[in-house]
Amino acid sequence: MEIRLTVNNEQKTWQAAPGENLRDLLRREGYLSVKYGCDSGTCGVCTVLFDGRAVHSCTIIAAQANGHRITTVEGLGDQSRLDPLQEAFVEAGAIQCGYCTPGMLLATKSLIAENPAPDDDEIKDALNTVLCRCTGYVKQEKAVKLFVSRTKGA
Amino acid sequence: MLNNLREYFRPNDLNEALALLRRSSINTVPLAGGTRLGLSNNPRIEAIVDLSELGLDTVEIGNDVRLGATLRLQTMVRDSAIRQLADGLLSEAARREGSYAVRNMATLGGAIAIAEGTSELLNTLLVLDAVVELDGGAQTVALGDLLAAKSDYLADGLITAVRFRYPASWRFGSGRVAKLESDDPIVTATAALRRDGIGVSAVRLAIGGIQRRPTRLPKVEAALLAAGTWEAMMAVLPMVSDFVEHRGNQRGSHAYRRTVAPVVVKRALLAAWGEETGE
Repeated sequence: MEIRLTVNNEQKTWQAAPGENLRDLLRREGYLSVKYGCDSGTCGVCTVLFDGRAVHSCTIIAAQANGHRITTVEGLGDQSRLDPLQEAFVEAGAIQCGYCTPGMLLATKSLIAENPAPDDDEIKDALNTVLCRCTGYVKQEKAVKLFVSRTKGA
Repeated sequence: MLNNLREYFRPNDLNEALALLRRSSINTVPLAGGTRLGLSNNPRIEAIVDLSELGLDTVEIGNDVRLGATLRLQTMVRDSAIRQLADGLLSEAARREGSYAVRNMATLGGAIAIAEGTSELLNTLLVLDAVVELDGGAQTVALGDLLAAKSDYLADGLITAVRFRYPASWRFGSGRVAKLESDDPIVTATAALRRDGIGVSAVRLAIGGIQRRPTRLPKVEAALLAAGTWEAMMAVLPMVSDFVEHRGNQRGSHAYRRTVAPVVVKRALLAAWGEETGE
């Protein structure tokens, strides 16, 4: 079936197999920041923004995304021009193997859009949606706080 | 993956959605948030009706509270008016239904349709005496009755809203046991009560993790009401164990659940009581 959607501010028209999920569709089209993980809507490494809200793309049927706005980490920044949130993650050392980092970044983006000044519990709650399999969550939490402190009042 | 999915609709009219769902020629299912359906491999599903454009994500709060079925759980966590309800428990229970990303898609109606056995959201709605509207209000059913015969009600009925009286004079509390704070609970209880001197003039109790679905315990409620004092209420609690039907699993055995259920109920009652009990 034909799917029309906006990915990282670009209009796309793609063919999807009936029942195919959004993660598989995005990866097939080259958005490789969207990772394979648990395949059960739990680990969060396939997180994307769906109309600005962090969601697990492995649980989204591709047809469900028809007409919607999707953001992946490819839409945030690149190595020559990082998003300020990515810069905060780098500065805080909140990256080890990097597999879960796109999910962490997008979960944080979603949270900040919802509440520009989240408290500690809200930050932990948002980060908890993504399973980090190596470092834990302390540096990621620091990174989010660093980003929030820089954007306060902006 | 839904390998046999052939049709996907996103109507903006409820009657059109109901007509699509009731076709006998093709097996059609509703999609609310899709956090479960999107993971399904059910080969019998041939068509989906996406409910997201039906305008069922409403919040109406007056003498009655009416929450639309496609209200996202994260909206229930965030909405300032919902956060005031049931001493904050409704919002907190919505938070416990899933992780942040799950709550951003999952809906109130979906949580009822899935009816997890330890859902603290369903516990809270049960003690609020919630009524479920089906098919835009064409049919209404008490949440407890719907949970007891879910497949019958939802074979042809579509959950479109949940409503309950504004719980002004009730006090609420909950208790739970889980391996981690963020883990799914093993047994969970929610209590609502109206204090009356040294006893209560009304009490509602819902418990999850002891039966297939979260359930009210009317016999325990009646015994608590008749007890008269906090001490007498506590003496009633061992009878909660008699309602444990769960056979046990890796989270907790049948015997564990029988032992811990009265403790969890006590914690819920203590939280609802809200001040020193003399213990």
